[in-house]
Amino acid sequence: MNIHVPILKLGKSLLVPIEIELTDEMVEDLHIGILKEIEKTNAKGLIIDVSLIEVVDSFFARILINIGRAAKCLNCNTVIVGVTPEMALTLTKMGFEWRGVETALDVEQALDRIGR
Amino acid sequence: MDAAERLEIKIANEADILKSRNKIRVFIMNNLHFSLLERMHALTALSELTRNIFKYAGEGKVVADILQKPNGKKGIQLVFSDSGPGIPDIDEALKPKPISKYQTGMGIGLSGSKKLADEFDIESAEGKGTIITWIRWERH
Repeated sequence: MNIHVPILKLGKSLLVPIEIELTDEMVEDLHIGILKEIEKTNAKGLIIDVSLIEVVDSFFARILINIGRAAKCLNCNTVIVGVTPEMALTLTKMGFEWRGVETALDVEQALDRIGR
Repeated sequence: MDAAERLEIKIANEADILKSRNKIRVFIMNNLHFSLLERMHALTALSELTRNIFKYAGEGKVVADILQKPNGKKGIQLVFSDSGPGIPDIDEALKPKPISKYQTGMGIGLSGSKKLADEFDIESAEGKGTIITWIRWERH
């Protein structure tokens, strides 16, 4: 699999720091890569860190929501961390509805939410 | 117009979407007094509209210009153009779509970009390509 995004084990959760811009092709790899890892490790939580991403446009936000929904089917709760106030305001202004996936300010808060 | 105040970037693949973002970020920082939020609005609209070019037309370009009002306020104009299939019904395309239609439809890229602009215009017809003009002015 040609995947450029690390998937790290952190307690009972998986941590996925996204550091590079995703293309359509990579998104599919990332989706399947994350889901396989959830199955393999029986992770109860998935934390996706977007703090290194500059712009979360509707394409990227939709990817995050879709990954969260698929993870939920495997009994794994997703929390997105690293959304900046500017990102949040921009998505809201565009009319994007952030539905189905929780957010937290940082990894620490996400772990508190999911349970270590 | 001064050559330094115009930037033209070709969009032919997904990597160009990111390339254009990096160039326009520097362009804004060098020429305008935008807050972080205003810059985010411009770069997000850029990302949405260049992605639409790549997705629907395959290729096109974006041209950035710095505009100035008589009162001295400056702004950025982004013109996105392609020779793709065009938009048959612009009013319909600008309607926000429910989340279930996001996967296939235009989603909120177009309508959302309009909401991030001070001035916004679309020239398009079926089979005639699309030209979108997006303008944002300095607030202070």
